Amino acid sequence: MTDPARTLIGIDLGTTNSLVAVFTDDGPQLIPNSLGDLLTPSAVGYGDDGALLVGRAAKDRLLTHPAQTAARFKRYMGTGHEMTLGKKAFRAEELSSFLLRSLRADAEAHLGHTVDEAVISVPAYFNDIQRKATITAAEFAGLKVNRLINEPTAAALAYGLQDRQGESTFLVVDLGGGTFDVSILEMFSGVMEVRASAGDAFLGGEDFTDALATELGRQLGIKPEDVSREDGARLRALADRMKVQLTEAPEASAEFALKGEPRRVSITREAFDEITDQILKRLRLPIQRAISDASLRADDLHRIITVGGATRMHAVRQLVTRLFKRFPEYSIDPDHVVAMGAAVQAGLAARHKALDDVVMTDVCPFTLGFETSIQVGEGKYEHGHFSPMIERNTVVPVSKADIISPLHPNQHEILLKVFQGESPYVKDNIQIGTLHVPLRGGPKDDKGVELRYTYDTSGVLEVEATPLTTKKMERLVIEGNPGSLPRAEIEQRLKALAAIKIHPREQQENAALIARLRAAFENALGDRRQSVGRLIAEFEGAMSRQDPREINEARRQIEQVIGHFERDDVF
Amino acid sequence: MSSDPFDLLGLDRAAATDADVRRAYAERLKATRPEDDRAGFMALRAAFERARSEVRWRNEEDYDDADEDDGAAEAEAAPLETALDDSEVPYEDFGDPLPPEEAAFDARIRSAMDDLVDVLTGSPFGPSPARIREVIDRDEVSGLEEYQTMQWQVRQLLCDRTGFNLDPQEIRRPDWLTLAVFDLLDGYYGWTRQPTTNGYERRLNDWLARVRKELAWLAIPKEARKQAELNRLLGKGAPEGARPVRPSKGQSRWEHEPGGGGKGSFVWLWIGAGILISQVVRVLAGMDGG
Repeated sequence: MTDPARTLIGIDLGTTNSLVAVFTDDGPQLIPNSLGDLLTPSAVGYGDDGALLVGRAAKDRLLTHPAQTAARFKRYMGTGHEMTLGKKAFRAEELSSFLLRSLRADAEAHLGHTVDEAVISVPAYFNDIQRKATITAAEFAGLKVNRLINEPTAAALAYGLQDRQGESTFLVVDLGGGTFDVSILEMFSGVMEVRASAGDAFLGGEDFTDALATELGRQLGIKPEDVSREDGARLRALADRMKVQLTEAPEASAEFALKGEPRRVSITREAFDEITDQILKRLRLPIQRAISDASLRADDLHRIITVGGATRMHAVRQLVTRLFKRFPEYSIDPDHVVAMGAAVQAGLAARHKALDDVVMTDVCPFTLGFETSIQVGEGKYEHGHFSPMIERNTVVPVSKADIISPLHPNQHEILLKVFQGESPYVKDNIQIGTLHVPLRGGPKDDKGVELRYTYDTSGVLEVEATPLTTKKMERLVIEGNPGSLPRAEIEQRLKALAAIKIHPREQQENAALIARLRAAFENALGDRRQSVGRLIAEFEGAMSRQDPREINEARRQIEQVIGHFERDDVF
Repeated sequence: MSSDPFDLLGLDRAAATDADVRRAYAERLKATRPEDDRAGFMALRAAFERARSEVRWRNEEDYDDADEDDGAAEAEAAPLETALDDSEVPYEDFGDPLPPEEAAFDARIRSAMDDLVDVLTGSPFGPSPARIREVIDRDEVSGLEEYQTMQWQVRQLLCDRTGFNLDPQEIRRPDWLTLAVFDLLDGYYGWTRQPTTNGYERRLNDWLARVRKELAWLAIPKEARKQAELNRLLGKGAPEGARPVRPSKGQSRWEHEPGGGGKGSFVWLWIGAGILISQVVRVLAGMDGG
């Protein structure tokens, strides 16, 4: 039995779609949003009334109101980049927080009580700054992060639960909308242990969509810089639809309305494989690295699991099959599995009785260390060397200490630069933050400093430095990095966010339908366009009369009709 | 804190097997979860890793006993039938014959390497990219193990032919090694992009990065060389992965950034670039004169 007051939710905060799930007595259960869908598109935008829309409605409005709508902002997590909606600029943390708020509301409506704590999944290859940004996004949404869980680890938890006493070693290939992760796990006696993780934080299904959009543009004789924002967004949406069609059929074709004229575009699977060949090749390196890091051979792996919507693509499955000489498994829906795993972790955190024989341990996917100088001669130093403190693929939590000392005996301070990465030179690694350690005493005093790195289960780093003489501890402060928000600014933005009006949840369905109708209007030509126009007028009329029964009836009827238009070729 | 890992796990050092160590660890782990008892977990984890490596080390000594309990689980894996695995590859008997499977593996690699050397050095007109791709990407060597072995051997070949093994080391450029050929191979195997903790591999990769720099410099016409120098000074074309975040990657080219603006700030960039360009042109002109 679990305490309902401490229900944790599991959230898969994806580049393209997000999901929320909860752990119940029957295992992980996905929670539908206000439209009844399990997948909420990761899109946010302003509606006509100036209130914010989240999910399907915003995704449809990407086509009609691109200047007021944002998507794929997960790729900007941990960068200072802002996206402008209407007149206001938002950081990725803020845009993500709207999405988190909406998922939280869906969970609360489903469970019938408030929820304020969550397990959120992040790509295993997210760096420290991106992880902290995710925690900030949750804070903006009023959610406490119990733990961040790596996406492939979450997937493995969902799969591992099916056969929890089995012994096996398996590899998870997770190709999502924006990120690529590979993890190798070992399972024995209910223990799920991550052995190695590798990945590419900037490789995902969206890159394949982009490549296809460029090819369609070539067929139409247009370049991204020649077309209007609306046409560009529409072409990209078409490319996305055709990419999905190619997973079912060997060829996809459609008509694209260019300057009022329908123009036919088509693509075969072979042609698609050719244009995405360069992207596909980037998958091989992380897979190889994870396997050699785990000191395994391909034959040692008992199961190969593919996760993430983008693994539906034939070329991706084919590559995995060729690499391992066997077919990968995907018995759980690749779009659902990460959220289900996050819910399992939420169940573990809430001490759900059904899980008391399961424990999961994870690793840190990067090496963490600091910059040092090496003496190369009498009084000569070479700067910029990287000294590791925690090696990659060490099981977390982990805490390591070392004594460092200043270069010169009369130094008053050590400026410690904290880095993450695998190169022996800091210039090729990522700077996470700096630490000023003041030193006391003259040239003859011992100026050693105890340096301690602690890496927690969420993959968040803490660095402490304690001079041996003063025993006064200094903590890592992330400064001068545009990717991370200082505390004071978090508070300030939190206040500003509270003032933003969000579209009421119970009216989301109507807003989504209008957005959908408008997108269909945009895509249609001729007679069909007029029919869609009539539907819009009809529905808006019903809305203005404010009779809930009439609105619901109109919505039901229109939803039946609109499906036909969307299935048609003209886009 | 107990110093003996086997004590902490409650095991008999002499008799414990790898499976015993894992079982004891799993049992104690459920009472010492990483999220509840950080210190306890870290101590348990350290004991587990030490005990396990000790048991494994002992197993290496009496090799026959190793891997026995892996057999059952391995049966679950369904290897894909490939025509090649079934074919009998003849091998010469040099005293200690390799098991047929490994001999077939070696033969596949050897044949691909032979073909690759052929394609690279055999044509008076230089190697054809399409044929290189055909060799390295052929089905027989696209399995993960084959890929890893090829990666290693092709790197050895390149390093050897470019003077890595000379004493003292000195970059040599064989006629067939153009920048395009190098980038094709490097793009496939990722030497200059892949970080590694292995010191020897790192030396090889660093060497190849130097070779690439040399190739890029020598292989291009003088005008382009000037441009390359400019790009270097302007910080363009930085090595992939050198920057922590690459925001341009996130934006689809088909969706213009909402809002726009910020163009004014580029003016200063261009003025700076102009000054740099004039400096570089002067330096290059000076080099010609001297």
